[in-house]
Amino acid sequence: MSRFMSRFTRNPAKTGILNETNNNDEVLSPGKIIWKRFRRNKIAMIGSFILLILIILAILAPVLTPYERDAMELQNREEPPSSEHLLGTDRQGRDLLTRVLYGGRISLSVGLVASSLQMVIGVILGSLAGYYGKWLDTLIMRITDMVIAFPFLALAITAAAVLGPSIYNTMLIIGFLTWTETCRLVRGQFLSIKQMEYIEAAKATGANEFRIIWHHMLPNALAPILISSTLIMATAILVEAALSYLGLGVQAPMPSWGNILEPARSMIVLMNMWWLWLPPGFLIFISVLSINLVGDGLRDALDPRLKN
Amino acid sequence: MSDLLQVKNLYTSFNTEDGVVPAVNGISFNLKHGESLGIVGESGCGKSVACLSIMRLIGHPGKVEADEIKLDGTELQALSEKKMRSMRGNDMAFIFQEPMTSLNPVYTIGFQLQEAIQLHQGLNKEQSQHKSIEMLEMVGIPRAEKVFSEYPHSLSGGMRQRAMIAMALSCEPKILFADEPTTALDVTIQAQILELMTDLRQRINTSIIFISHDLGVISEMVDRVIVMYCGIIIEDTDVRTLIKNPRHPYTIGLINSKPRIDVELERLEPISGSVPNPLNMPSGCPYHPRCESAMEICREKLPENHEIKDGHRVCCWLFSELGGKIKS
Repeated sequence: MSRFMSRFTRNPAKTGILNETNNNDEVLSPGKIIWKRFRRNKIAMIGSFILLILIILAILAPVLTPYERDAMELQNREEPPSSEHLLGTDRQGRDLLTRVLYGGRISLSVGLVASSLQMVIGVILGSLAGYYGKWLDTLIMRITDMVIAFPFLALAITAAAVLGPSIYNTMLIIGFLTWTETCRLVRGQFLSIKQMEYIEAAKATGANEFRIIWHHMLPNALAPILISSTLIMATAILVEAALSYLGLGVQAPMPSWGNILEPARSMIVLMNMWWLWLPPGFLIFISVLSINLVGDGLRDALDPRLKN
Repeated sequence: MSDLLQVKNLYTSFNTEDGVVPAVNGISFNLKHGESLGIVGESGCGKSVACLSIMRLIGHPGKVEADEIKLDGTELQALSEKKMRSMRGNDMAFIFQEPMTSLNPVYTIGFQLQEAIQLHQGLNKEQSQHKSIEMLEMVGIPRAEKVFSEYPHSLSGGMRQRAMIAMALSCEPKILFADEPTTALDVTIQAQILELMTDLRQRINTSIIFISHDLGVISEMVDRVIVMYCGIIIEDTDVRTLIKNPRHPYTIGLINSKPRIDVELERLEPISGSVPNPLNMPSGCPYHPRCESAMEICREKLPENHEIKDGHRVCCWLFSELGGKIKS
């Protein structure tokens, strides 16, 4: 992974975006140029800032709250927010702020792992289909079509019910159901990059197929892969919340934003105890929104056609 | 001088949905050590495909067949793909037409130069970096050390082509295929690049196969010329003879259609007609529909090669006894 990300820093870029002026005579790598363009996009910067705060809050959860994640105070059940419990307590008397902070760890990491998993699957299948073509392409694309043809949530719920609900199964299910978009994208990119003269030139210098795919083609396709994976990460967080809300995802006592929402299935909770569902709901909303903002910002920064 | 490259009856065809498209139709030629050979012809006559076939870079749906492709005595067709890869870039190098797109935009010039060097010469990072900078200096790039860490987008077309040449020559290949290396450049840069290539050829002692449709460039660059038309070699001679005394009607047409600085002309004289559709080749000699001296036999049979003088081959019925008889 670190090798993969290191490639990102001297990243992509279809030639078009690289016409940026360079006045202080320093070598501008494509990565630096993209960062420069990304930084200029205020909305995307706000998105990344919010996302960063959410991540820091999740990481610092044990420091930020004095309570244990699963510690129950049975005498203080369903307490509204107070100075002692800033967001109140849930039905088992657990501190909700603590639950929400720890829940962020679970929800964000499910999003990250699931979207990385789909990226790996999508990139491998897509590049095989795009590079080798012929029957392999047909086979992979038909499998992709089949996965797309299934109603997503129905399949996710069925799979969760069959495999048994757990955090790892949730990651796997989401990863294995969302790779199709990346796969098609990578295939398309590879089909066009394959025709580029620098690929022919790489072959003429004696590079082998693995080297051509990994070193010469993939970095050139990285921009759209990153954009779509970012957006899919937002989807993954939403799907995790949906599955957990239905009791088919992350299981209590492990908190996730989705399963903290679970009590809101009851009308009484929904109407009278806003503190049980509003904070996790808001965090799902804000995290998905900020990830989408970052994704859109990345697209603007990486796509030469959207220049200014 | 012995032969470095021997090609005998090379056929390359592409199996497309509309049928089999023959791109190269049985060409044979030899290349001596240190010689530079030009291949001239119209677009689509199979110049580039012939060279790519020799390097075995023709992918699906292309098909290459030949009686013999020997480099320095080694039959290339018998080599495994792995062995072939180790020869590409090392023994044979290719310079492409389009310098703007033949460098990978996501890597620095240095990275791309080092790639070939590390792949074939087993040098470590430091040595290959040293060698790359040396190569960049050799092809006349100023501030070579800085350019080493720059990305292709910050170089001009001429600079990129120089970098490409540095890449191609970094392993001191036996043969350099140059596929219209100056077509995309403006005239002054073109002259510089050609001069550079001539100079480097002498220094490294590489044989060059120079593909071009520009007779002016060819006459500057090479010792011997092959003229191709529709995938066959129609004339093969040294460059002086070709310009002064071309024999094949097509070559004569080509030379006449070139603007000349010493003769005042209202109009150029193009060759009438156009290149036939490769899916629907004329019978016999592919040039006969456009040929002014076409005879009966030209419609029926592909002419054989006739050596009309030492080292001057022409593929035309006009020079055979049979053709001569029919004419008389």
